[in-house]
Amino acid sequence: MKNTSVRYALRGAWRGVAMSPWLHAMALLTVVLCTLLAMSVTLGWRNITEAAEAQHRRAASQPIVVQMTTAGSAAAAELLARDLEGLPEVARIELARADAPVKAQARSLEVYVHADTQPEFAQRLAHYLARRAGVVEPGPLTDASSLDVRAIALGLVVFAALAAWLMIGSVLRLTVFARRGEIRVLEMLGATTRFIRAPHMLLGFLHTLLGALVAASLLQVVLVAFAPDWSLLLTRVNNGVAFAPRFFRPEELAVGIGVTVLFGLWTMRAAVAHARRP
Amino acid sequence: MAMIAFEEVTKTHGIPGSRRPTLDSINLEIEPGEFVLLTGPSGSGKTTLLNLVTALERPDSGSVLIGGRDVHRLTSGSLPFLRRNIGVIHQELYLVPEVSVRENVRWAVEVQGVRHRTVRARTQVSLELLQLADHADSPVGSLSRDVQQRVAIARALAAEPAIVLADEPTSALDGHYAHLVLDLLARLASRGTTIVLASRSPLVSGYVRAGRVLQLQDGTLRPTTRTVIREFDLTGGAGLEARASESA
Repeated sequence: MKNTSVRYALRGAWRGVAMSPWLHAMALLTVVLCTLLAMSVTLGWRNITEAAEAQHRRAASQPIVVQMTTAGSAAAAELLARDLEGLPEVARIELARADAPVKAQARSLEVYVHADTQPEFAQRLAHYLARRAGVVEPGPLTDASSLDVRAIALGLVVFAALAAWLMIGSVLRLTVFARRGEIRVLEMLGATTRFIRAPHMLLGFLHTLLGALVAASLLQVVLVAFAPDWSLLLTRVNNGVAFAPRFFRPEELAVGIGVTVLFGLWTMRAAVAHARRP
Repeated sequence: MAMIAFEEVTKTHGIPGSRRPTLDSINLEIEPGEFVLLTGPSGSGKTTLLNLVTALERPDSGSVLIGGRDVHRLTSGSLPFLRRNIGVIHQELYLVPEVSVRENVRWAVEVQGVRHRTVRARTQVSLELLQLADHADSPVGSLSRDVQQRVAIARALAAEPAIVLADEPTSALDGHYAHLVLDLLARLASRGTTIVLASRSPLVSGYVRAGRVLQLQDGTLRPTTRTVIREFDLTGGAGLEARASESA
């Protein structure tokens, strides 16, 4: 880019802010709020997912105890054990001794699963055992509600990201729309596309970068300030398994901010192209 | 090779079903450095003809050539380079009202990608030529229509274009500034700039001793009248005033 183009870009960007300060303040505030919303929901989803995984790891280390009915025969228990042993998720099965002091007439199975087994397996196993004759109840199994919460949280992440992008895109487009007269004049004077775009791209870059940085900082402050409350909430969601929330890793944060900035640049590029249409 | 050439150019306007040709099979050649005065009643197609040269409008048929190249076959990447070499004074002015006079004029030079020093110098010269130095830092929107028209003229001339297309450039100007502008255009023509001036003003028609006068009527160019080219006074307005009183 030539020296005069850079000068025009800097002057043009500054003039844009000076000409409509409220519009640009609104644009920046929108970027901050929307990025804060998207980051909060994403962080919530991340923590819920990690909490559920921690719960699952804990559950996987303990056997699933399948209690047979008193009337159930030892043969039925052994048949069930043989059936379950064929499953790839099952590491081993231990049959409780027939002469055990508690409920001597009943038999029980202890099903040990592999550590890397998906939480959904416990649900599938529960459904299977519920239909199996002679089984009282299996336990403990991964709580289905943690899976539902994860799915809902993921849905919220997608929704929040789309809503944030739509809002940020709309308000950034407004800043270009306010200067469409200037764009038209420059086009008639023979300005190249890059020359016309430059100040708008610069503003889009600054708005999204600054907005995302402010949003990330605010989120970290809130997370630190309310850490005990978050921890309590996540522990409750997590069936009592203690879990301390954590912030984004630096590389995750960099990717998030980078994506926001790229979106800002792409929006400005599209907005200028739209403003140039006759 | 003609600087500007129209080959069988037809352009229609209006809603489908009642379209009528604004320009009907126009053939025209304008040589480099020629001063052409385009006259005709309102709605005769003068502005359309100028818009076709800068590719702001497309012809329905025929070709518009600048330096032998068809303007309407240029790619979107090449069009800016063409437009930088054409200084256009539009009737609507197309200025940005929130921006200062200096900034409006500077853009025309800045888009050429020349050095910053050159941008400043050409902008300043153009402002001084049009006697706009006092208004340089005022927003264009705060100025009267006649000053705005001079800003549009200053912008068109600041880029030192090879072609100047002027659409009613003196419509808002008083006698003094009208003479100043016409004198400037005449000086540019004498130095090799191709000038096409569209006007229905009797002042312009009577004042300008153009190289050629073309009359547009009902979408066609009437037989051209080649007038005697008087020597333009290159020393400034005093000579022009004398000539104006002489012709009166």
